[in-house]
Amino acid sequence: MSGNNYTVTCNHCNTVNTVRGKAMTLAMTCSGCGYYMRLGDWNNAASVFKKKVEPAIPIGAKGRFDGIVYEVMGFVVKRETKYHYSWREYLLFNPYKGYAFLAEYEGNWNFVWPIEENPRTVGNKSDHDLMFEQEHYRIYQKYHAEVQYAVGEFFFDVVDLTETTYNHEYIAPPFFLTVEKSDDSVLWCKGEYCSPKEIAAAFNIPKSKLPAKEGRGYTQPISTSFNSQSLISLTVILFFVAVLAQFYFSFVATEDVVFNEDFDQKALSDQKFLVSHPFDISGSTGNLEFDIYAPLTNDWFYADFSLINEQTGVEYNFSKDVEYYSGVEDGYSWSEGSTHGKALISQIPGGRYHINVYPEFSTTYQTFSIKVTRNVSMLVNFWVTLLLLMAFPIFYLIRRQMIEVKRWSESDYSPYVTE
Amino acid sequence: MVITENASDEPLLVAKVPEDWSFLQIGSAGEYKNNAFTIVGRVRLQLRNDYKNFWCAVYSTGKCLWIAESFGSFRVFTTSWQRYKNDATKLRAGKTIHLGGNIAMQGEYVERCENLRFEGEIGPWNLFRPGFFVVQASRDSGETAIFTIYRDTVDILTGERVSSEDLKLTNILEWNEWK
Repeated sequence: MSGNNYTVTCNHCNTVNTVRGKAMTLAMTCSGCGYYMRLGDWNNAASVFKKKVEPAIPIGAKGRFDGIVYEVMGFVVKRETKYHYSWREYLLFNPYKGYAFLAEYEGNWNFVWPIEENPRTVGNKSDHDLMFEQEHYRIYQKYHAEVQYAVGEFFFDVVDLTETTYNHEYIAPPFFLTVEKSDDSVLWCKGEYCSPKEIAAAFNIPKSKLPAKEGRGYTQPISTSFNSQSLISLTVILFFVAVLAQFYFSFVATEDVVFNEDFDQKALSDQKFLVSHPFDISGSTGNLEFDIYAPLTNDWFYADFSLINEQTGVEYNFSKDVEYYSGVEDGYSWSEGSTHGKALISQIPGGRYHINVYPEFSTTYQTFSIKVTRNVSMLVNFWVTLLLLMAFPIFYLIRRQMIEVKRWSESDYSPYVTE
Repeated sequence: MVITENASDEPLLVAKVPEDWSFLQIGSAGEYKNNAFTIVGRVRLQLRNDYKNFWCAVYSTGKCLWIAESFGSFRVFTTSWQRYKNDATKLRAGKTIHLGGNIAMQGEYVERCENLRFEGEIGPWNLFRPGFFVVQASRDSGETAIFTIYRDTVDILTGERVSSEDLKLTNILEWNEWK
């Protein structure tokens, strides 16, 4: 800050410190010896921290958030008193907007600013659910903290204030609300997750200078360009479109029987295959359903089939296995397989065709028949469409659920844990 | 600087207002509810963990209003200090404070005023020496109150929260380093 003649002399080492926050600064560390000094006439007690910690963003650095330039005034390392995890906070200042904070834990960042409205409580547990700006926030943690290290300037006695307040944090990723309560003050703040890339860009520093990101931040949103509700709505709409399309295709399917012929092993004589009578298929391209029937009981029939276009010579090959077994065991009747086998071939052009059959018979049954139906309704298309339609939403919802369970695993108030 | 509470009182010698980063100054102008005002003076309260600049502004009619400012947060008070006769023990942070007439506010903080400074011309003001307590309370609708507690005497100033943009401030200090 330029043009500032505001100075304070350290009682411990006599260093003359320029006070960048002028009269707004109520506590600061000495640039000479690092002593933490309270600047008020009412309390000028000093203290020293055991271990020095270098801030990733230097004191005095300026960063731009939502178009507003903030200057880093102070840096503090706080430790939660129950579970003993530590995090880092940067006090930011802009004379037109006041102060804000950057909080960093395991390389995950939140930008935090004071709010003047009191969030509204909802639900039965009065302090567990809040509504604020149409967002539902759930309690994530309650904690006491202490200051392990501080450097720079503060507009309040950050050491005493941290130790005398009880904190509640509520999350609705990427946002969170925090309230610091003491006998003398209630301070509500709102926060929003920031990626390390955004922090680096805001302060124009390399991302490599920032602490390495470990895991997912507790306010880090699930990064998608849509929300769950719109995904579910879209899926429901597409489901109904698929159902309507299936109704349409069933309606227009002509299902004409174009060929039906019985075959007997006797006709084979010394040939390896049977040749059907030729048959005509009218119209342009369409599908063909082959229904292979073999009157079996506890037996099998297998054949390779070749549908041959007599004008073009193009072959369409498939094979089919027909098996049917049944019996009575321990008083219960059972059956397995079927005497019918079906095959479907798509995009068969109109023309004259015949079928070559390469059968393999068992010893007991020697007959079978083939029925060919043109333009059948294909239910399989509907199911494939439905499967594809559901695959992404199901994957998304499972992934989302797993992320949420993990997010809340470090909270004492996880909605995913039943007591 | 010399000020007097009453003409009959002995003049009070007070020190200069310390420098801070407030962007208002004596001579700044603005509008409140479509009425233009000009800032003519200031009372600066140094609280234990905060500060409060009460900027004294006057309309062209000569009527006075107070614009309280702290870290970019603004409150406008068009009333004068009134004696608060309800239960002063309820003036606590986090507690509901009843103002009468079904108006209730949430206590936000209680801070001891450690220093008090004056500059320019000020309208009617209630306390001239530090050592009193300041209580701030608000409602979600934006109504706000400032209480001062000195011994058994509680005074109240009621007004509303506003944004600096609402006040359409002009002739303010331009801190170019933050642009």
